[in-house]
Amino acid sequence: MSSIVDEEWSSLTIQLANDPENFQHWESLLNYVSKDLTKLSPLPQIERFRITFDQFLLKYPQAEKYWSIYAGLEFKLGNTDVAKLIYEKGLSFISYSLLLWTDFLKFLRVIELDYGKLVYFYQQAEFKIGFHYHSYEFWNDYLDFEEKYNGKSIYYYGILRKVIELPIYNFAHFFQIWLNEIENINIKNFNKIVNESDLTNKLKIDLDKQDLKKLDYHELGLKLKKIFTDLYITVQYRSFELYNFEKNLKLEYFIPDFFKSFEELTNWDKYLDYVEINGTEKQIIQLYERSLIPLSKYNNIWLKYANYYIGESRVLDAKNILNRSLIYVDSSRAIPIYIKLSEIEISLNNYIKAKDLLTTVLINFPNQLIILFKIIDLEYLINHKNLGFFKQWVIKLILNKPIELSIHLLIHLSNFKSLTIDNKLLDSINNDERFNKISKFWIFYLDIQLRSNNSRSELIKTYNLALENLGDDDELLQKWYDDYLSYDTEDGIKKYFNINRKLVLK
Amino acid sequence: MSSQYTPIEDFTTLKLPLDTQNSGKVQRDTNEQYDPAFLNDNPDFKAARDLVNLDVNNLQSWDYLIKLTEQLITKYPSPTEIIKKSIEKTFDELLERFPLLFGYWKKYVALMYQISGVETSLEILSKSIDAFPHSIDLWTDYMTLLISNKGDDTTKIIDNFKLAVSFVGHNFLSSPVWDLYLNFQENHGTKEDLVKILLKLIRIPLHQYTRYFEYFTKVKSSIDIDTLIDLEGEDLNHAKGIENQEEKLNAVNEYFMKVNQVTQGLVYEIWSFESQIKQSYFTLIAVSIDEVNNWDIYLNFLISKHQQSSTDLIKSQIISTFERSLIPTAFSPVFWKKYLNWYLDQYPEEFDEINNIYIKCVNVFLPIQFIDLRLNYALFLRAHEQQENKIHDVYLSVISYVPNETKPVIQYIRYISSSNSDYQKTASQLEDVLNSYYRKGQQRQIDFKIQRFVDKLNSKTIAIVIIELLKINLYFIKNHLNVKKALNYYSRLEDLSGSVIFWSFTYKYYKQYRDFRGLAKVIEFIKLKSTLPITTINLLLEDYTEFLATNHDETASIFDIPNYSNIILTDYEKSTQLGFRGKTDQQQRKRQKRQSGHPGVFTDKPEVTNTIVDQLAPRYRPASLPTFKNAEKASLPIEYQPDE
Repeated sequence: MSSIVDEEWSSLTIQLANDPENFQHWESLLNYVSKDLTKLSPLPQIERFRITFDQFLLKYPQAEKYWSIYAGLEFKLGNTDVAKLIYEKGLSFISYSLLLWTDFLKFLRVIELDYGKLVYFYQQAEFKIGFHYHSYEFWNDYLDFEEKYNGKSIYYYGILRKVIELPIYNFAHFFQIWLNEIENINIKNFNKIVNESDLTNKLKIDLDKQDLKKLDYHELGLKLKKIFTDLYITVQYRSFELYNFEKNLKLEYFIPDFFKSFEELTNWDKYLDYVEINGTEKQIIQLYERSLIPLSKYNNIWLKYANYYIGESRVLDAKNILNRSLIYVDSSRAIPIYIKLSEIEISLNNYIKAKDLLTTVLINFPNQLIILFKIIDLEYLINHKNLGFFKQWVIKLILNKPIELSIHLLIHLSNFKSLTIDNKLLDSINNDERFNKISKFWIFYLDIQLRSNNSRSELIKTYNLALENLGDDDELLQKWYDDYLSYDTEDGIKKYFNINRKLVLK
Repeated sequence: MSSQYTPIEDFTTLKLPLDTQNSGKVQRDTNEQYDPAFLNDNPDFKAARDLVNLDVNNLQSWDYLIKLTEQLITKYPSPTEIIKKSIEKTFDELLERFPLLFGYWKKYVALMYQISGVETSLEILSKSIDAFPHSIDLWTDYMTLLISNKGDDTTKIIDNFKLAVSFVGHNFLSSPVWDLYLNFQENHGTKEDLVKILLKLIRIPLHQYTRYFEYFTKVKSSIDIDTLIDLEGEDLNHAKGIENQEEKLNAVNEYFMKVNQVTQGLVYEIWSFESQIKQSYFTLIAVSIDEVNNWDIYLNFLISKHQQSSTDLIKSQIISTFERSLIPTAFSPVFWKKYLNWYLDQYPEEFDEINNIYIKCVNVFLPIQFIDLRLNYALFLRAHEQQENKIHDVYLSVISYVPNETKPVIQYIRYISSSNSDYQKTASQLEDVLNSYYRKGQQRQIDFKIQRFVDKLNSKTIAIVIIELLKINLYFIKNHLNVKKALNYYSRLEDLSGSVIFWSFTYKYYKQYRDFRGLAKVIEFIKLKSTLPITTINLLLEDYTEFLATNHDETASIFDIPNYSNIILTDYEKSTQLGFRGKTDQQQRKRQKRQSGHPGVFTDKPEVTNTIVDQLAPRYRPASLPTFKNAEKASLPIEYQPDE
């Protein structure tokens, strides 16, 4: 490390600079900078390690394990506060990460001795990862923590009482503990297990506060056992339902450049649907957030998440979700997200913001039809008092785009209310005959004529013109004839037969 | 070509026109047609017959049944009428279904020969060549039997030979028939007639062409050279004036050598295709793509030759080759289409010939699911001003082949409309159809044809009649009031609540006229009440969002906001696969919940009604005891929903 030029570092960084999307290069670099790191390492080496991790996690905040490794190394270097900050920063990105929370709590148990502060963190974790199907370790640790500090307190029983209602994979383990406690219910613990009003009202057991020894603990135990057996059945039922989805989840962590199978994505989709119907709000959000660690690059999950909020009439939450997704979803797959965001902005009356969003994507994808449509729709809103201007603007757009796009834009233009499109306009747009070979143009032309009550002979005239330009094997044109002109064909039946047979006998 | 040809993989589903023509009448494939006592006495036969009934397209079952049928004459050496009928019925049925199975025709003939003698076998052979006129085998058998039994009736035999070679004479392997013909002619006719036949034969590219040329060389020397020149006609006229006999003979010989060279050249050219034909016969095993490709390039070769010079010889070669290619591929539309196309391009004036190809194709061989070709046949008849009855029959038969397809119904209505050339009249006919179908209002006496049409409609296709009536009102009669009234009336009919055609039209109608309120009502129905497929609902919702983005209801107080809220909400609804129905409909919500987790299975799920999972673990006071819903049902057997 004495030499100024570290060759391995140089080659690894150059390799990465040449191919920054290569996750393996990143990993080699991370391995290299964390190697042999001690409190005695020279400052430049430590700086290099920090820069590398910071940059990496900026790019891949969903790489759970690396936040932990980073914090662990800082801790090893003696920077406990920095380590804690790293954990907290990581959790601000992926606040529902089971792995990160578990490591963080372990770390806190080592460094933090203040009971109240620790409880605060455990309670945070309860809502974030407590619903996770594989949260056994967390709950076990939680119980252990409380017992270490306060013995079998009300809180201890409270935690146990809560976890047995959760349909998690190892639910039976906690039930066993709970049922043991009930079987041995006694003067010391009964009031930590059941509250006073339930005791008298629901269980109909006389409570003589003066003499607790009089209470029939055996009877109490039996009554409680019956109730909690029902709970067992209920939780088991739900846990099995969840298992049907959980068993199909593989590699539930973030892997760049790895695409999930169709089956697995469908399974996630169905799992989310299931929870949306059966779960509480917290459970639903937990599952979405959990799924977005391995699936953060899939726009459909983000959109589904946003749609969930829209369905709940929480448009602002939907907007926040979509804004967050833009960090993770690459630009081509983000198009539908930008579009959805722009629609939300319009619904909130923020036209300028909506236009910004659409323009941002349009710069990268100038010929994406869907974006062009959305921009046109927005311009219509903005210019609704000056439709003449709007019309001219769209026509200019139509004339400047490749022909395959312009025909779609032209058809789109006809959707707008109070905008007349007539054959004159179409003739002028086509005065250089650029649309002559486009069947959609002729169909559009015929549609317009049909709607403006032109006579059959006029329609036939246009149809024949189209036939001349497109040839008699154009299926779209033939279908249009079939749809609207074949009500009266006996005059031209020979021609009709010949065109039909060329298509059918082809 | 091979991209168009899809080998039939499963013949069990093969349905032919014959299968629907008789439905409604006596069921053909049942044992009822056999004498009950006969079936009782022959349980093996009955079992084999049942097996055939199970799958009439299974040739193995048929083969076994035929074996048992053949054995009947061992059991009944002098069969009664009942036995004879049973035998005939079995063979007739097999051969009506698969007339190209020449082997079974031969078995049939042999068996009937034993039972009823030569007259009956001749009748059957005669029937066989009607059904399968391009079979060399059947013609050979027929002519052999005819010669040995009706040898005196020379005219009949010669006429039949002429017919035979007109069907199979251009088949590369047709020498058995030609040999019989030449032999008969040599013994019973004049030398001149024999030469006349040979003058045609030596030009046809056959496998045995050399033999025939040698034979011709021998025969031609036995007639007068000038007669020969006259028989040959114009092309040889130049030899007529040659004085020197030797020179004349040389000229004639040289001329025929050239003829032979041309034939030889043709044989060489087609040999590369002929040698690749592996399955020239009919069977119920799909023909390989290579085989089909070979026929295809063979035909293309001949067609392009015909384009260079359209001689009668090449025309006959093409027709013969098409007919041959259609033996192994009779159930595929590929060569039927090519054949018709070629004929219509080259000889559009030969109505009868083309019509016969169409008839064979659409009435006998082409499986019923191919409707376009049949509808095209109807147009062909219309274009040639054929009888209306025939045309109605074609349309109505296609409708009965595929009663759930919309296209035949649409095209039939267009035909009715075209032949009326009066939109009012068509509209009132369609109203008659609807009234008769729904049995509403004053039912007028309706036309027989219209009644036949009504009988073929069902809850899916009736929507087409409605839409056609609306379109005529809308575009041609231009009576909007009628359209609105009809839409109103029919949108309340329950059997249309899942009709894609009806609701798409209704939606488009309101959209086209920008009737915001009408459109909102339609969308509401489609979303919440209709039984349309989800894909259709989502497509319409998608289109509706586009409508909302491009159309604004001026009556709305704020210009745009409600629309865009509606757009994102509709988008959400689209994403939930009808899940949104649970939001407004308690019943639906309960259903969704019961079914979630395992589609098709309904369960009342056990639940904790006072769950504490959404709260922090209690720190200071024990949580309330849990209360339940459906806990007792957790162990009940599950309820399956058969067809959701």
